[in-house]
Order: sequence, then structure tokens, then C-alpha cells
Amino acid sequence: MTFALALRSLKAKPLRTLASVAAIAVAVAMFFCMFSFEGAVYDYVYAVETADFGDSDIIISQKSGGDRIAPDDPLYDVEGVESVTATVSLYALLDGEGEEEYLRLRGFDGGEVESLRDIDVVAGDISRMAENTDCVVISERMAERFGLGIDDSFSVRGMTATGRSVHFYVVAIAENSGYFASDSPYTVLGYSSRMSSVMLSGGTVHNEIFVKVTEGADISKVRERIAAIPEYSALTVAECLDLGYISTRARNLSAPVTIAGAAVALLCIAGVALVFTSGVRERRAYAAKLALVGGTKKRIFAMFALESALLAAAGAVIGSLVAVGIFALMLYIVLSSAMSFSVNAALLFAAAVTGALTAFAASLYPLVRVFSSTARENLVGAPEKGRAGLFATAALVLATLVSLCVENLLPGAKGALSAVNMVLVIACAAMAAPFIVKGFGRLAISSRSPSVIVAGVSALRERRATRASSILAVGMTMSMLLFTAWSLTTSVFSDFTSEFEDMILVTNLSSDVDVSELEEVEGVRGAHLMVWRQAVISADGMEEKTVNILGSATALELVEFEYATPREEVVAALAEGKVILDGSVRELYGVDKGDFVLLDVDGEIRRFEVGGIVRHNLFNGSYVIVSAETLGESFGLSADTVVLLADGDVGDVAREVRSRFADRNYYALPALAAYEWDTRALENVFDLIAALAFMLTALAYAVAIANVVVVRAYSERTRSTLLCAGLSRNGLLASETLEHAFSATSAFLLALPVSALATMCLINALRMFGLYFGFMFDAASAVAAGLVLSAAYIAVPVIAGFKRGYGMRRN
Amino acid sequence: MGSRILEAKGVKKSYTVGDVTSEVLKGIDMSVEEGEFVAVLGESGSGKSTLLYILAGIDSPTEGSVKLLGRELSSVSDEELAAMRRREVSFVYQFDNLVPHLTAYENIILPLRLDGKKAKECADIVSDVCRFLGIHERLNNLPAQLSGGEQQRVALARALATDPKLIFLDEPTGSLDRERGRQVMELLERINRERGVALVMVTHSAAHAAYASRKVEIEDGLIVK
Repeated sequence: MTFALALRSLKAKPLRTLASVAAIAVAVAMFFCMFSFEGAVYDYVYAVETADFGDSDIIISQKSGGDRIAPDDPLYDVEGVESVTATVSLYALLDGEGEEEYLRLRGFDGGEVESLRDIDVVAGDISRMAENTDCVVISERMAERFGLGIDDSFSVRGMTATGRSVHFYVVAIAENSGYFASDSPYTVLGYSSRMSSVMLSGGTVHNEIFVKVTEGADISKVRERIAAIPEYSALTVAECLDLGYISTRARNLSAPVTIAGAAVALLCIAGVALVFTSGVRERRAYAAKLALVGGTKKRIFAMFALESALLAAAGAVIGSLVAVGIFALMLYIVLSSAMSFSVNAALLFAAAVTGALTAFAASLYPLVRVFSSTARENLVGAPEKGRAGLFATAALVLATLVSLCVENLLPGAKGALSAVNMVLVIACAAMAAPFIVKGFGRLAISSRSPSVIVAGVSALRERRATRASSILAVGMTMSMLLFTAWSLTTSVFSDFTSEFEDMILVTNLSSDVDVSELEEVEGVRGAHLMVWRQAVISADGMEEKTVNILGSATALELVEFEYATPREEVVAALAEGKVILDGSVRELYGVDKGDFVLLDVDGEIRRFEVGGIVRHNLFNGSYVIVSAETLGESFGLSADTVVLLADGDVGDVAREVRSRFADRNYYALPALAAYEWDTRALENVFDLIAALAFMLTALAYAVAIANVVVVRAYSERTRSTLLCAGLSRNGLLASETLEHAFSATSAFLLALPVSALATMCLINALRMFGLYFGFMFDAASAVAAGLVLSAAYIAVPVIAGFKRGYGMRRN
Repeated sequence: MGSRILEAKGVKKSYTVGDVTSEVLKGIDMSVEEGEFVAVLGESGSGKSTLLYILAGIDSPTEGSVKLLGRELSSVSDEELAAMRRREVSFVYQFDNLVPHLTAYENIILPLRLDGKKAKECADIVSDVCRFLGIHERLNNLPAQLSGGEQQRVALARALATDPKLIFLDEPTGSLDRERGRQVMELLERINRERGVALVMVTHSAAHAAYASRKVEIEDGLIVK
């Protein structure tokens, strides 16, 4: 009987049932995205980062393009070495009409093309590579881009003085994974001898040797042994895999999506609670009727609980089904490429359970009212007694203020507490908004206008006005939060792109590179030689973190930093061999000027004093500035990059550089093109935040409208009575519009400061992900989002044609 | 007349809203015998409905005691009270008695189903009651598809379905026009006379109170007659 009653109750309210199930399903999908997104992005970044070396452990490569690599024979005698794969890697231009296209040629010795990783062939036959040295494997992406098929040929042009055009034949096309996971520039796999001929008129060269160590062997010790071999002393011997860097990159990309997903999930759950709260009067009457015909409290509760459980279960099932699709879509949006991923059943189950349980609890919350009242109170819909609401709100506001003080005053408290505080401040807005509505109501009842008085009485006595203000306060705050996040991240990113749009990166340099020659190229207004590579930084109280070394004092000329330490002190510190850190390192780990840090470059560790602190919002601590001289002295590193500042079309200038220095195989690319994948991914993240902001605003509006629809049904008699009492239809419409205005204005007044507080908490909560940003708040975006939502809500009585439904009915 | 089935002694009830406390019942002593039809008569705000809800165990008194079917309500558990409502006592109020998403028939058998009776068993029990009340042709309709008078008869059918000893009625004709009100009152008289069910009915209408075998008049929280 309990089950049958629960089922009938669900069927009786199809809109409520559908809305709740949909909200729970979206929440489950969002929980799944939250739980899985970072892992999937990590897998993607891992695949891209390991595309070149597969499961190899150590890479031996040139320190500059001009170095000749040593033979691989001595490696076989090193203890701990399991296998060695010598390869050649060089850049060439695809012959053809239209825009120049770089290709990356990777050559392997006969039969070794799959020695680093397997190739998933989708067309052709990889064994045909044995037919001739001009046979190559390309990716599906490249085949599609250039319209190549099996047995098609293409030719490439070497970029050295001795280089020439060489033909290749496609014998196999592979999936965009493995060697081709990054594929930017497009990768061509073939024979070392043939690839070398692009550069040289004869002979085979190897410029990258990959070493796999035996299982259980200490990779760093094997690396040290190899580095100690005289033949490799002038080369870079480095460990291939840097998991810390991969984690950081994955976290940076996934954190905004995770947080925005959490916001949507929470709003969905809040929506479920509000849908059920809106119907609480009806549920009270239902509970009373059941009690009067002999239903026990336990049984009535069981029926409501079963109803909620059925909704939660349906939402969880549908959510689980759509979660994978939404997840794939979000991944596609962020990474701009379809990637295969495996669904972690345990995480999907956890998301379904989390969504179902939170929705279950949220839908039962309004029942507190049902069971704290007597059957008679429920039957007549008696209002809440006393000042419990006022006291509860005051207590919550007080607790939130204390918690905010603890967060901001206690060292190290920012992080998880910030996330809790973000929820608390939004809850405060929801609970406080009704009191502002009542304040408006008190003011309104002293008016002479009947419409204003009616609106005032409704604001004071009707729960629909106060409840709407709570719904709008939550929705508006979160909407403002997301639009602010979108506006700020987009603006920071725009600054970044405008800063980099005139830069060209020139790599694959020879050791005798002459910067002045590059400066002479038409359109180049400056050239800065620097080391630009990765290192691992650590310090007391700071976990190891992979950063980019900006190895030149001229980095200060290239990037617009904010100076926490005066610029002249920073310049002097760099000259003294000190390092300059980002302000986020100080904020997150307490490492400050005068402290010491360890820098690990390819396994060589040196200690440096921190000479100053600068700040760049987008780089967010993922760099350290050291002078090129210091790097040379400490690590034997020579400059590997020239940053050119160009006027006019940077693409044209880059082409001119390649053309002018064709004999040196320089790889010259506009900086934004070099980081195209990262910039595109970030842009996509911002677009996703924008989409979520719009979705969340629409969701908040929909919940507010649902509240209006559900609750207005109960006040039909009141409207009829007001018309009977002489209020005109226009007057009634004006009073309803004004009532909406009270709710929207109350929500707006609270949402604006609360969204600023929530933004502060959100920024502090990002510390959990190792991210630090200073406080930023875009009041204009917040105001715009709030005003749009307010105006849309105020206009509901007019847009929805409430006036048409006004009529005098028998009471 | 048989034994006493309801007895109230010194019942007081007060409500506090904000800083203001108002005493609605100021000490009521009242009893009902088996098979009796008692009308509680009074003006709006006299406290008659509050008294009825307290007598039925739906609300609790601030002071005093109520003994229903020999059991002191203050010491009866929620389960026992619910069981009494399923088997021995029924309640009908002014309007909106029915669960809107259940049909008339489902509303009628609701207390029986809650008491664990099978659907077939319920059908046998209520068919006679439905004929008695003349609603047997409207059983598949939802409450919204019934007139006010039909809805009240469905509510009475539900009250009778459990074959109770006592039915509490709160202005059962309050939402009906005069003719339908008269029909319901005649029906109540028949229920009392032919089935021997005791009725305690709250009304402000002297004409309706005239159908009762005994009248209790309440004014300003006290029984005056």
C-alpha cells in the first residue's frame, strides 16, 4: 500500500516528477564529471606527453641542434639498461601548394618502429614498411588534413642547406593515439636512413636515443651512470617521464570544470529541495489526510521517503546513462578532440549514489515542517510558529562570519574551509533574502496605492514571495559567480594572448647561434636568447612542482610581470645568480625572498636563493626566472630558444626566419601557434564555463518559475477575493509584478556582495588544486547577470499573461 | 443509549503567537454515549472546532484529559491512535477531505488498505456503504470530477467503511448549498439511526444541529448549555 501510494503521488504530479528526475540526473552526471574529469584529462595529457617515448625511461638528446649525437653502443654495457632505441627526429616542410605546413619526421632503424610503442593501424599494413625505406606511417588526422590514402605519396623539403626534397609512400594510417597523440606538427614515422636524407645527402643520423631500464632498477641511478659515460657528457641525459608536470597540467585544465560542475550539481540538488519545498503545503495536507484515516507517522514518512527514493533512483539511473555522454562532450569541448576513455564503473556508481543520496535528503528536508506540526496544523496549513527562522538565520550568518574570519586570518586555513564557506555564504543569502522581502512588505503596506499594499501584504505573509527571494538569491549568486569567473579568466587570457601575439619562438638552435643575425630579419624588432625548459622546484614545506625555467634576465622585457619586489632589485638579484619566483609560491608554500629553493634540471640538483617575487596571473606560479649565465654555470645549459619580438604579421616573419636560416634547420613558430593546444584547451574551458553560467542562470530562472507556478495555484481564492473587493485587474497585475520585484530586488541586493564573498572563497578554494590567484571580482559582469535575471523574473506576471487568468470565482 | 465512549474533563487549550497568548478553551467537561448524535453548536471563533480536534486526538489539550473508547489519549501512542482511526473512530471535515490524486473508491478504502486489508476484502466491505450513500456510480472519478455534495458523501463513505463506533464531523455541510446540506444531514441522521454510529458534529447552524439527539452550545471557550 505504501508503495502504491508513493507511486500514485508521483504520477499525480508529472511535472514535478519529471523536473526532479531531470535535476537529479544532471546532478549525477555532474558528480560523475567532477569525479572523473581530472583523471581523464590526466590520461589525455599523459598520452600527449608520452607520445614520443612510450614506456621508455631515459632520453639522450642534443643540447642544441648543432650537436652530433654519439653512438648507442656504450649503452648496452650500462647496468640496468634493458633496451635501447636510437631514432632521428627533425622538422621538414610539406611540399605543396598553399600555406607552408611543418611536419615532424621520426625515423627508426629497420623493424624498430614499434619498439617504443604499439601503432594502432586503421588502414593499410604496417608490415609493408619492410618493402622500402620510403614507406611511412601517418595519422588519421594527417591523412584527413591532406587527403592522403594508402599508397599515396607526398614529398617533404628539408630546411638545411644540404637538405632536399624526399618522397614518401603511405603504407599505413594509424589512430590518433600513441605516437600520434599530440601530432602537432603532424608526425610521420619511417626509416632513419630515409629521414636523415632530408637533412643530409648521405648516411644515417640519430639525435634521440631512448633507453628502457630493467624492471626494478633505479631510473635515476641508471641515468647517472649514462650521464657519466664520456660519449654522452655533452648531451642531455634526462628521465622521460615527469608525472608532477602531467598532474599539474591536468589539474589546471580540469579545476575550473570541476568547480563549475560542482556548482551546477549543487544547484540541481537545491532545485530538488525547492521543488519539494514549494509543494510543502500540499504535502502537509496530504499527510494530515492520511493521519486522519489512520496512517501512522512512520507510515506517512515511509511513503514520502519511498516517493523520494523512487525519484532519486530514477534520476540516478537516467543520470548514469547520460553521464557518460555529457562527460564525453565536456572532454571533447575542453580538449578539442574526441578521445577514447574508459568509464570507471566504481566512479559512475559513486556519482549515482552521491546524486541519489543528496537528492533524497534534499527532497525530505521540507518534511521537517510536516512532522513538526500536528495533523490539524497540517490540515489548515498553519504558519510557522515563533521566530525560529530569524534565530536560525542569525546563527548561520554568525557562524559564517566566524568561519570567514578563521579562513582569512588563520595561516593555512584557506582551501577546504574556503569551499565550505562558499556554500555557507550562499546559504546565508538564501536565508536572509526573505527578511529583506518582508522589509519591503512593511514599507509597502504604508502606501496609499491598493496594489502596493496588496504586494506588501503578500511579501509579509505569503511564503511564495520569500521563497522566490531565496531561490533567486542562490541562483543569482551562482550565476554572478560563474559569469565573473568567465569574464575574468577570459580577460586574463586575452591579456596573455595580446602579450604573446607579437612573439616568435625559434628553437632547434645550433650552439653558435648569433642573435644579431636574427635581429636583422625584416620585421624583427628584438631578439632574446634564453633557456626555456622544464625543471622541478622544491623547498622546505613545498612539495616538488614542475615549472618552466625562463632562463634569461630579458624575460622581464618579454612578459609584463607585477613586481612584488622592486624591478631594480629583481634585475640585481638575477645578476647575483638568484632566482625569481611567482607570488603564488609565496602564498601557497610560504617561500619568500631570502629563502632557498632546489632546482632539479634533468636530475642535476642545485640550491638557489630566492632574490625576488613577481606575479603573473595566467602563468600562476608555473615558472621560475633565472639568468642564462647562472643556468650555464650551474647546469651547463646553453640557450635553446630565441624569442623574437616582431612587428606586422608574425607568421610572415617566422617564414622569413625559416627561409633566411634554412641551412640551420631552425624551428620558428609564432608563440601562440607553438602553444596552440594549450591556448585552445584554455579557450574551450572558458567557453564551457560560459555555457555552464548560462545553463545555471536558466536553471535558476526555471526553478523560480516552477515555484511561481506551483504556489500561485493556492492563492487563486485570494486573487478572486481581491477582485471581489474592488481591486482592478490591472491593479492585481501591478501588485503581483511588484511582489516579484520585491523578491528579485532582495535577491539582487544580497547576491551582489555575497557573490563577491563567494568569489573570494572560490579563489581560496582553488588552493586545494595548487592554484593561487589574487582576489578578482568583475562587478560589471555580476551586476549584468543579476539585472538580467531580476528583470526576467519581474516581467513574469506580464509575460506569462497572469491577467488573463484573473476572474471572480465562487469561494 | 449505551456506555460512555468519550469523556473530556477540564480541557483547556491556549495558543501563543509572538508575545500574545490566547485561551481558546477554558475548561470543557463533556461526554458522549454509544450511538448518540451530539451537535456542538457555536459561533465562529467560539472554540468548537478546536474542541472537536482535541476530542478526536488530532490536537492535544494544554490542560485536562480526554478518554476515547476507554483509553486516555495522553497516554496513547501514535501507532495506537492511528489504529483507532483505522478501526473505531472516523473524522470528516468541512471540505477538501479527499486525497486529490486517488479516485473516490481509492479514497474510501484508504483506511482499510492502511489497515492491511486486501483489495477484494475492501470491495466487499464498501459496496454496501456506497449503495447506502448513493455514490456507487461515481467511484472511478477523481475528487475534482465530483460535486461538493458528492465529495462529502465520499468522505462519509470513507468514514463509514471502517464500521466505526464514533465519527467526528467538523462542519460537514459547510461547503455545500442549502439543499445539498440538507441531504447530507439527513444522511447523517440515517447513519446514526440505522447503523448506530455515534456522531459528534460541530456546526454553527441551529437548523443542522436540530438533527442531533443532543446539543452542546459553546461560547467563548466554555459550554454554556
